[in-house]
Amino acid sequence: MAETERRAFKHAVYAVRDEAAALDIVQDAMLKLAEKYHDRPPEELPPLFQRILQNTIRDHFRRNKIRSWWTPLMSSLKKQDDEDDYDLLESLEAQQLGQIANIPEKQLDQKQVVAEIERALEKIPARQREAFLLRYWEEMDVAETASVMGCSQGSVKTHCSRAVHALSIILRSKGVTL
Amino acid sequence: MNEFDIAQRLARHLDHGVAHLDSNVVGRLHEARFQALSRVPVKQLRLVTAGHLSSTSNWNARQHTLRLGAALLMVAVILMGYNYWQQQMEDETGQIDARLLSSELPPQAFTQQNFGEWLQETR
Amino acid sequence: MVTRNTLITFCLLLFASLNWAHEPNLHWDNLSAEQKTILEPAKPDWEKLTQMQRTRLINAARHYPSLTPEEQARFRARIPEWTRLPKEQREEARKNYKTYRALPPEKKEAVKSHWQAVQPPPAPAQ
Repeated sequence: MAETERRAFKHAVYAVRDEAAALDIVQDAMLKLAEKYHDRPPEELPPLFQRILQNTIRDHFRRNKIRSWWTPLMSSLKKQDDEDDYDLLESLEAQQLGQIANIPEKQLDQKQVVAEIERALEKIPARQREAFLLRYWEEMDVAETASVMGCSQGSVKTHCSRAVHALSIILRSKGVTL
Repeated sequence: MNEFDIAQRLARHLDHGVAHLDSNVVGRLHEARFQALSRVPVKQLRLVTAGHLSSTSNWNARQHTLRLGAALLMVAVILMGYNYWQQQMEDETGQIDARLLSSELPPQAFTQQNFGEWLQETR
Repeated sequence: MVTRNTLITFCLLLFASLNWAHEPNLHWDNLSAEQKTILEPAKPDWEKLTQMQRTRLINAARHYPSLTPEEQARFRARIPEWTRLPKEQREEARKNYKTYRALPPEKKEAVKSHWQAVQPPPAPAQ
């Protein structure tokens, strides 16, 4: 049961890159869920919580006027789904396409691998990250993910595939094999 | 490897990360949950875990069933008590009938109108 | 909720069963031999009687063994007329009997004598 909170904390960390802020965000989200939705049937609570969490993360950005150094994140605040995240792939691929094959594989222990993956997650656009985490980590189906993110199921699939692609490339460029 | 496989592997690595969180982070998360729960009205207490097993909601349902069961049990006891009382009444009536029918006075005597007055006349 | 409905049904069944548990089937054939002997005078009318009437007779029959022989004879003799009385009169009779039973013994004797006195004399035997 505590897993949900821990994952929520990680969701928030990947988004805001600040552990203290992430804890506050999780606490806020849990309070909101408890206060407003405690009488909902249990099956509705996971997607509700995820949606509250995402909203709380966005509120955090708005309040603190923090802009991620990664520009596509700004456009994700406006809830645009299609245009905001192609830039990353384009730029990454442009930069590294020629070099990936030459990058040696590193011997990393689990902890290091996790760290690299988390760093990579922090780099990809928010919508891609959200879609990836909700669908593959929280194990929601496409419909639920679309409902939480407020976009179409097609967008969810697009975000997911781009996320996985981007993460693969980033990790490969660091010499990480999964 | 297809998208799903890669995603699964990534997810499992992330799980590992979650399993090895800093202890003070874990502590603060517990605290956060406790605070969230304390905001919920006692009657509708549900674990605010957004989805995995909610043991308090099971407890809630169990309490409901217990209360209901207790109420119905009480009804059953009352019914049984009433039934027993009724049984006693029937027994008494049986005795009366037996004595009445076997009395030296026949039933016609007892079906007289104004039986009470008739008794009074007898002095 | 399934549980609630089950419990309610159970209670109703319990109630119903308690009500009718003792004499589930009041057909003449289901009476014991002893009951049949005692209630023999009611046999011709038995099927016309209500369940309640039958129950009452059976309950009365339980006390039969405690009666004196004369009382037993009177008991059986009076069954037919008793069963033909309408319910209200039977209720009335029971009420009046209770009053009579509460009388002191001398009074009871006086009442009995009075009753005897007002009976039409039996037809003289030829």
